[in-house]
Amino acid sequence: MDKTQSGFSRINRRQVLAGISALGVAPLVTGFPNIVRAQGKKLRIGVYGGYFKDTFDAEVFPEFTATTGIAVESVAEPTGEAWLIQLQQAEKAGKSPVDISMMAQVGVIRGMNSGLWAPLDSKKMPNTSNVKQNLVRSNAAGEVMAVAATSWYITLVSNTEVFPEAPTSWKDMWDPKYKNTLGLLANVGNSYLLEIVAKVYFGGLNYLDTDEGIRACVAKVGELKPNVRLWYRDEAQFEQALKSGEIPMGQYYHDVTGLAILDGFPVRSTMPIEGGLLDYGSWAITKSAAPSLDLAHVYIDYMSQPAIQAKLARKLGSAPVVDRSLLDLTDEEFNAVSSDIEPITPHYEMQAMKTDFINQVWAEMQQG
Amino acid sequence: MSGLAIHQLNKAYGPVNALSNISLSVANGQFVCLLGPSGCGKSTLLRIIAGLEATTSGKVLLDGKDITEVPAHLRDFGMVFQSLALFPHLTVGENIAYPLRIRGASKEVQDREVQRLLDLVHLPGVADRAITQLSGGQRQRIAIARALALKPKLFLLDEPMSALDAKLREAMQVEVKRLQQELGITTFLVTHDQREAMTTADLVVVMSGGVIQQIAPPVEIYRSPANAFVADFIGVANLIEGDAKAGGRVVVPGGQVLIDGVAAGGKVNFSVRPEDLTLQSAAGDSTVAGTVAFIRHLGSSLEVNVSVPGLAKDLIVVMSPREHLPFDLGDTVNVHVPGSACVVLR
Amino acid sequence: MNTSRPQNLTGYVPLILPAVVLVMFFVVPFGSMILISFYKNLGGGLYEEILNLDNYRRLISPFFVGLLIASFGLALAVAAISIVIAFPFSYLLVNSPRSTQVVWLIFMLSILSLSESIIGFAWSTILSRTAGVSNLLVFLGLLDRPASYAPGLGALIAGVVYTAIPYAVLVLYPILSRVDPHIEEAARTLGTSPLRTFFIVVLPMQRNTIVTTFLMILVFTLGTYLMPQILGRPQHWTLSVAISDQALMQSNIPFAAALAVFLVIVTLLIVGTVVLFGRKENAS
Repeated sequence: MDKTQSGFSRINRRQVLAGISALGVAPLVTGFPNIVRAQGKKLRIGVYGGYFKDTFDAEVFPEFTATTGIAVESVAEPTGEAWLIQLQQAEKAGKSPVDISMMAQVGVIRGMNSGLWAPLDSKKMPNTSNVKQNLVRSNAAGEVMAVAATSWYITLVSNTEVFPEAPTSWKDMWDPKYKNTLGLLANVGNSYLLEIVAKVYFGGLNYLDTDEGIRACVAKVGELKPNVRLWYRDEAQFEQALKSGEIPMGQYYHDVTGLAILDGFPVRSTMPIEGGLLDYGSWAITKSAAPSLDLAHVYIDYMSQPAIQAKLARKLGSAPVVDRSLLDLTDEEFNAVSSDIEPITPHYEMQAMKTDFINQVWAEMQQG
Repeated sequence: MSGLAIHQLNKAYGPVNALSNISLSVANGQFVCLLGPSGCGKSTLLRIIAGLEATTSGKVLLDGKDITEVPAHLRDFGMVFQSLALFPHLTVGENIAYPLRIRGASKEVQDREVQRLLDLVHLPGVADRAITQLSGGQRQRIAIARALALKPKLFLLDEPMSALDAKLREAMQVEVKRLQQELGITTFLVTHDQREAMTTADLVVVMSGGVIQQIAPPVEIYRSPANAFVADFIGVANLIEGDAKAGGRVVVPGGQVLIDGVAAGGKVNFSVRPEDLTLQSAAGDSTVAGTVAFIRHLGSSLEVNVSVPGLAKDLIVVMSPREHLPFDLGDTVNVHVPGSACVVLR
Repeated sequence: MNTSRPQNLTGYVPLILPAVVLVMFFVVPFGSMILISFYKNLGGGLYEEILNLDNYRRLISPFFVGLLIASFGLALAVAAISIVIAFPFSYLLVNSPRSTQVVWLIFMLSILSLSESIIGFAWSTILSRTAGVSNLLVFLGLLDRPASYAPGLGALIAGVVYTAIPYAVLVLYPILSRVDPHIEEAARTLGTSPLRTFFIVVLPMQRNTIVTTFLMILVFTLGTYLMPQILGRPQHWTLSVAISDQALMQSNIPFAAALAVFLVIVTLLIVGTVVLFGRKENAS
């Protein structure tokens, strides 16, 4: 999950952000009935460093503090699993560097399995009922462990000058006419190509429940190799190549592509007919941060409001984690960040539990 | 003509003239020393002869053939460098055999020649040693052997002995001279050491400021220096200036000197060697009066400095150590200057 | 230089600080890496302190041995090409005017100050179809239409060689500048043309220097993991890329450690063999 590592896109998004801010946006939240006024209280919140943190610092946290009286100290998290490792080390020492963290799903599952997270109380977070229920993660005992914070799509992207005709399906990537033109994410854990293949060619994610199914999907991805020009690990490298037409097609983040379009680059993001790949980040709290649990409940509840989700869609370009019917987004605003087509979702359990196996099979396919 | 000749050679580095109008002719089999202080151009001249430096103008002729434009590697001259420049990655034998090997000589020929050359420089049996296992003097001999391996027409030595200690240096000078006589090879030795030049040379070329000051056999250079520079640079010379009067009488500070054939009128400069001077109590018709300023016994000689009012430098008198010296420091003495020993400088 | 051993214990005092630093910053991390390589991975950066050989069993597989061979193939090629370029370059540099030397050395140092990823991106642009050198070749009429050379093996080698050459030059330059210039002149007076002198005197004379520099670049290239990702195709991703993937992406620290130990051991074996071989050659 390298969502925030793109240097170029970060700059672009900041420029856009400045433009939007200049228009002036009225406060969205005017009242907040069920919170305890908590003057002098402070919440330490970990978010991905870079663009995410900048946007949250500018657009979310000041209003949250104004509304609830809870001060926020935002902490930049590294992406990947480094943050989970840090939290686990800190937990052993009985201290936590933050009260609440934004976590990728593999991290949420690993933390859940090792008993890292404190259970959350849904009753103290009435707004979380707005959040799509498959995006709220509970443990085997039914305790809520993490609640979705924001989500993003990976879609089919292409250069409009090289390909005037947009591809429509994930299956187009296998078309021999796209020989040596694709840029794909390099890792099994961030490209989610196994999930896409399972959904598109093998009837659904269940196909990945067995090792044989995984091998079959890897083999199907292997058939893409003649078409792949670049397996990219750095987003900036592909984004630049996509804009210039050097590598005119591939998979990429829908939100960042949208910004490139706003900047006038000849690129497009196509929501495939089988659905885009929808990934999301969640809020979770380590047990050692339990003294701040009440404040964290207030924060998650606040973030789960449809109005805040709409704001994130407009400001961050992220896909809302609440149902569209609850949002005041226009069709244009909604389609810019999301889609009504049922998305493909990552097989997080497979990613978390079979990491070594899928990576080994993947590497052998990719490097063989 | 046979031998090496240089015609009106000039060498400039940018605006600086390293060599000006050098002309020189050396018969085959001669040992020539290029002598002068550092920076006088002697090494540059040698490197031009070797072909390692280009000339700005002028010609180098060998046996009447113009070799000015022939590159160093086609001249087949043997050269020994100040640093010796032995190949550190090769053994003694491989160093000596190098010029033969690159010309495709057989292993047998190479081995035989290495043997012969090591015998020649009196170092038999070191062929398999590494260069680093040899002493400074031994390396010197190896460098000489390597330079002679090709039986070169010219043997060029660029101050190769300057790094050796005094005793070893003297021994090497004698040995180089013997070797040259034995082989009858035309040799150029660059040195700033006049003793070395006197020891080895048939012909000394004294240089200064990129110009040749005098070309002559060593004794002639010593006895009849062409100018004040040569007189002063070669050995110790007393340089005196005086006014020429009638009858060869030259009036100098502290007295007068009779020099035959000096025309009357005007200033005259002359040089006289310390060993030609004697001390006496009374003034004579060719003496200079002064006071004894310094006495030193050098073992093989006795040296007395006599301070003469009006002369910038003390007169130096050298005598046999066995002679009794009837004077002491501060005594007034008269220095006898024999006119026949004086060399009038232009 | 005084090379005698200290006479008493206080003589060793000046050695304490370097010894402690060496142990703390080299021996301890390396030792713990070896230890961790025998632990059992639990995922997510966690491991159980049970000594076992599973990690090593996993890496002795055609896949990882193949990666190792590919890594050494790349490193050998890069080291060879770098030497072929850097040695004559350093040689010419040493023999050029002082001001020229200074300019080039500053240029070399400034390359060192660039990050590897910047160099990688620069090369991928230079070798791209849309903005790269092929456009120049088309303009000159040498090519029919622009072509792309990156990512690919050639691009990867170009990028790594570019980063390796300054190191090679900075190692070679001081050594070559200390060589007695009269040695080459001696070779010339003995009948060797300048070009031949380079090949039969200068090169053999510097054999040890060249071997040392070669090994240094070999090891340097074995450790590179950014360039293969930016300029190489997956089949060019080296063992170092696999190590960083295991450590940073899969959070399998024990296996990453085992791979690293594997790479270090094979590297030491190769370097040791070369050094031993060189010593024997010298002795004979």
